[in-house]
Amino acid sequence: MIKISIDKAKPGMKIARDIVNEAGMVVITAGKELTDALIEKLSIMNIDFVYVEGQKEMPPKEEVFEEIEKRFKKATDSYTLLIKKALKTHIEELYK
Amino acid sequence: MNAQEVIARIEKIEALPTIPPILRKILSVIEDPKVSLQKITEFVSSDPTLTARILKMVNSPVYGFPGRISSVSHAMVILGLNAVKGLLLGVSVFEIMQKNMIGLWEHSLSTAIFARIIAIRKELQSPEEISIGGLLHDIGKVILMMSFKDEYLKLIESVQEKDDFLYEIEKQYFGLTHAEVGGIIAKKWHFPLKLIEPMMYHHKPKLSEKFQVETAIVHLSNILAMARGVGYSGEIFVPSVHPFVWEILNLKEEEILDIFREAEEPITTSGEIFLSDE
Repeated sequence: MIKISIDKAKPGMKIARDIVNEAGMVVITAGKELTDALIEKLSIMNIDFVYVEGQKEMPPKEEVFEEIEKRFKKATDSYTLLIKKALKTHIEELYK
Repeated sequence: MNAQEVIARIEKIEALPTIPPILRKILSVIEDPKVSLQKITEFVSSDPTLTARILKMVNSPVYGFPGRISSVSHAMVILGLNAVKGLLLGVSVFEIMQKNMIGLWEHSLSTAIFARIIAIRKELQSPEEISIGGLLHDIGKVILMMSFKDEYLKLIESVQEKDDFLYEIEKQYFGLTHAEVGGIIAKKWHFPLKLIEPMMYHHKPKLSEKFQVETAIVHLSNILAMARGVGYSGEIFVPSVHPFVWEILNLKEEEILDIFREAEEPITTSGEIFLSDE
């Protein structure tokens, strides 16, 4: 399941979580497929985000780790390196 | 360039022809030290774009208030006068950021999100205000961009070739950094010290006097946002954490990891928050 902003929503995407309006009423139930008309309706209702089925597009893991190495090039102290270590663990988890 | 000249120019920012009319209006409202929450509420309510943006912000994962806030007056009461002033400024510099420095908005939002998460962990009273400090910490870059566009763009370009930090290059060229510029302008706009110190000292946290914890949080949040790599701040390297900040916040590796985990969804979904108004 991924969360996308309404302007990224496209017909054919499958809703993964009930969409609730300002009054707390369910307007579209999970499992339904989006259509142009539904997307239009959601934008009128001021709904900014929806959850749809699918996986987030992520860059290759090796690339992300390479970028981290580059960004941390100037970090040599133990505190900043601790952050780097925590970040790498976090990124590893995202790719599990 | 000498720092006095730079300060003289940035203090006249309202007179610049490049400043968008809406921002000019907002500045005249927030600069008034006696402005009331009611007056700001009326002002925001009279402008549909501003209303939409304030409501989107308070309902976004940047804040994570429970339930939906659907009126400007409700939002104002929850946030309080100081946070509202800052938020107004934050949402109104959005376009300038988008036009001149792609990625700065995402970087600012990510810093705001990290700041709020850390403030809550440290049980600070007003995490919203600290998060606004995060949102505005780089506003000095916007000011430099508006006041010295060609020169500043060149400085940003030179970061790669000089293999250095942008704030060091700014210091050499302007005699002061974007952080000081932001602090000076925040003082001029009568922001509370609680916002001024984190903005002014986010690269030199030890200089903060009254709001050391708040400043330390914004300092660290800026670094975490750069480390995670969402958005672009003009820097290509993650600066080192000041040992003083570490002493104050005393976070362990596991806690830093938890902060990254908690921030992941909000920072990767909030960047597009205003794109649907255009």
